[in-house]
Amino acid sequence: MASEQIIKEITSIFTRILEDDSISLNEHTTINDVDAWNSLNHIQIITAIEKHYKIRFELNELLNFKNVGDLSDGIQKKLK
Amino acid sequence: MLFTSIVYFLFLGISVLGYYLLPSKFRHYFLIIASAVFYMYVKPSYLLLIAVIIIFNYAIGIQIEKSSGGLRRSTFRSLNLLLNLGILIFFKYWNFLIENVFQLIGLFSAKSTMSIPFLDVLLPIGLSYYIFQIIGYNMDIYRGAIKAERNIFHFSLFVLFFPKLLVGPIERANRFFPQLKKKIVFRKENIIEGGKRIVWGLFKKLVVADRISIYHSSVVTHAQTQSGETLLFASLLYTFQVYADFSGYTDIALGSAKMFGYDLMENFKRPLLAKNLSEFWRRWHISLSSWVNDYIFNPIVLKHRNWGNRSIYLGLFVSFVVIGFWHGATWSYVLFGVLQSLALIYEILSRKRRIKISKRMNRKLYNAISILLTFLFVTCSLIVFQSATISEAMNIIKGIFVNKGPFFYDKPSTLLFILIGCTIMMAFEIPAEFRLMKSRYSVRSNWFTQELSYAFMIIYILLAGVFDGGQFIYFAF
Amino acid sequence: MATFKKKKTRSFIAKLGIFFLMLYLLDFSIGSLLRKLYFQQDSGYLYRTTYSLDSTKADLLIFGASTANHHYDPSLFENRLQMSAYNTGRDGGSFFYVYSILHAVLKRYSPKIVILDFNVGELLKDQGSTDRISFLLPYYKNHPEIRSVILLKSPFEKYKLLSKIYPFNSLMFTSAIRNANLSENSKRDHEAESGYVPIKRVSDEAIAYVDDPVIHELDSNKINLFKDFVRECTTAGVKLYVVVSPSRIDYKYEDPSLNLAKDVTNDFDVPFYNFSRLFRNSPNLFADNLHLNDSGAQVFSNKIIDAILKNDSSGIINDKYNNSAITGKK
Repeated sequence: MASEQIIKEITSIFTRILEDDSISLNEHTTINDVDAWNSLNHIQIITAIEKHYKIRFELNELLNFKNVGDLSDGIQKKLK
Repeated sequence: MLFTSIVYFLFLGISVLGYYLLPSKFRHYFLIIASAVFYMYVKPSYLLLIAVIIIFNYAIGIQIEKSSGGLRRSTFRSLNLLLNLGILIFFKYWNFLIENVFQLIGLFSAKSTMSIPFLDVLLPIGLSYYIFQIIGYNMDIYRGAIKAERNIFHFSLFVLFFPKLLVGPIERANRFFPQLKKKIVFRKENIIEGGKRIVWGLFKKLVVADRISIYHSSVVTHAQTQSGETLLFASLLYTFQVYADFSGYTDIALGSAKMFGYDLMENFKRPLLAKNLSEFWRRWHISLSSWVNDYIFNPIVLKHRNWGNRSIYLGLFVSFVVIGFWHGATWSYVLFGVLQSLALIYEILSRKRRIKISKRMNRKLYNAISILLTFLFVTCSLIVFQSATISEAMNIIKGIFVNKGPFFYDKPSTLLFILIGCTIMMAFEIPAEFRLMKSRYSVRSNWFTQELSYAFMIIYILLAGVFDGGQFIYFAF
Repeated sequence: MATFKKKKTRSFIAKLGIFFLMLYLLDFSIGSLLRKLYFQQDSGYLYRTTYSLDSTKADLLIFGASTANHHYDPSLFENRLQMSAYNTGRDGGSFFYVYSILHAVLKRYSPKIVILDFNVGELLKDQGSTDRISFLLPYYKNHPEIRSVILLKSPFEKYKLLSKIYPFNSLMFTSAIRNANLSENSKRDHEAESGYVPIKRVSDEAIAYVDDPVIHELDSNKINLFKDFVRECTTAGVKLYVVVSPSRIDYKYEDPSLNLAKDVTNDFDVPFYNFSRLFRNSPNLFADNLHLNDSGAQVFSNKIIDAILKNDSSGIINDKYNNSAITGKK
């Protein structure tokens, strides 16, 4: 899957979990850039993404995601 | 060396001078020496301790990185935790733990003649900060997020850098080491920006915090005889005091670091204007709360993400008990942490209800009430925080509702100094928070107005600052 | 390029110079205003310090900290000893302060009698009492004779005093308020023209017990100043009495300050009266464990006067009252 497509799908998951239609993400977006995104709803986002793609991340991977780009790369790796 | 002492500023001035007079390749070594001298001034033996800690952790970091296998790698990771937490527990928590263990034993056995093996050992100032910093560094290597620092001088500076040595911020490897790799060039903007920050920090510490402290401590030492209004007033002021004290000290630290060309991480973002408690903890002592978030909360929550929200509750509970306990070895600090986690869990559970209420109200009114309620909760938590024992805290809280008597404010000038100081402090923060004054940027561009404002600030510090006897309350951590 | 750099540097230095000029002008003007306001006060504790240093010419002077300020009523001394009396005591006055007042007074004249109220722990090394040398900062400029004591406050004091505002740190509102006669206290303070400030409260505290020995060391500066105090009084022909006020605290161990005071006063043949247990059975005379209230001060002042009269062998004092029974009434 192309990373553009993944980011589009991630964005819709974010939008659903954070209940905010105005969210727009790119590969450099971090948790500080999105008002509604914080450490508390972060795990809801992660579990939703894992459910959507039917994948499971390692703990170390998750802890190393710094931005949406890392997240998207991580998804791509799991899908291979 | 207190950040508000003349000795410190003489030291800072000489260090900055020497730093820029030296050729740039010597500057790191100079900073290490200056920082070592700084720590030795506090107590010579501390330098020995920190040298041992630096050497051990330098080696551990490299070994973690070199180890490819799981067992070897995690052995060194465990060594990281054992060694560093062990040192921290030895100096800080031994007496507390041993006393409570013996009390527990005492519940089951009648042996009251056993004497408790207390240790008479001083907590090295700054230990809690740099131990956490080092643990984070090694954990980052373990996770593969960074590479181990091979240059022992850079690593030493990472630990020893004097502006952040005593009271943080708790720096991160990925923020600090890249700055060390850059060439240091003299820019007058660094000196000016650093100087401005220091002046503002001195204002908060000397004019606001230390002034309130005199009043607050005298009220609280005689809490039983003070009226409810006095206790309430003093407690509300205490919240401003702790904020001004710690953020002022942090400003001096960041301003000092800036003079050498380094940007340390921000520790505060107008926390008293937070609209809810989770926002508060993203704005208060940010280096500590984000450290706990990255190395305790996230691992717990992500590991147990199958539990759903319960993993968050567990994560919050553990994280905030750690944050509370990090401040000191008393049950009051632990209770402080527990209270935070309970309130945050409440916020999660009540989120939908609160959103509904907010939609029905005027937005500004809702925000104002939110800020007020958050402030009140923080004030209440701080009553627990500053009490030596939980019963002392209960006495104060009970006293607020029950005690009768006249309102004690010492002298009119005491009230004036306190209220004017707080007003000036908030007068800078409120517009910045709510973007009220659109002409904010025009002030920035006019050098004359800037110089005049800082001159006035220095003059007001001379007029209203508390120069003697004030003590920075976060020191013993 | 070189000329551009030069211009930038020159403008930077100019801006820096302007900044320091601003600081200097503000410090000078505001400091001068504060000085004026401070010394214009005509009542209150700050005024009383000024009066003690600059103006009093009373025959009998009382020295000390809060115990002095609240325990000795000069009107009684004036009535019974037929001489003018003034109480220079001030809350929080450390021995640095007490010595300085005496030293400044002796430069102007020699009182006939000086009573030094001396406390347990008076000569201890203690950061707080060193910090409170700040009481004297406004007088640094006009009293060269006490500058050496003021400089004991800290090694950088001399440089801090370059600022005209610094001596008046934390005093601006009090000075302004008293100048405007806004304070309700000013009426009460006009009643304290003799320097004595009565406390009305009656203590409900039990006697306190201090079982630990004193572990802190004595302050060598304070010791020297104490010896100077006694010596200067003797040299000036002043009749000095060192008195320990009544208290409701029991100490298990001897206090090193009191011992030293006893020794020094003995060497100089100065009466040393330890009245600490005097009113042990009269808790109603106390405002708290360390301070007498107004009733207690009346009784105690008479007691001191009795002692002075008894001690006065040369008969220079005329006692109005032949009956020295303590009635406890004003």
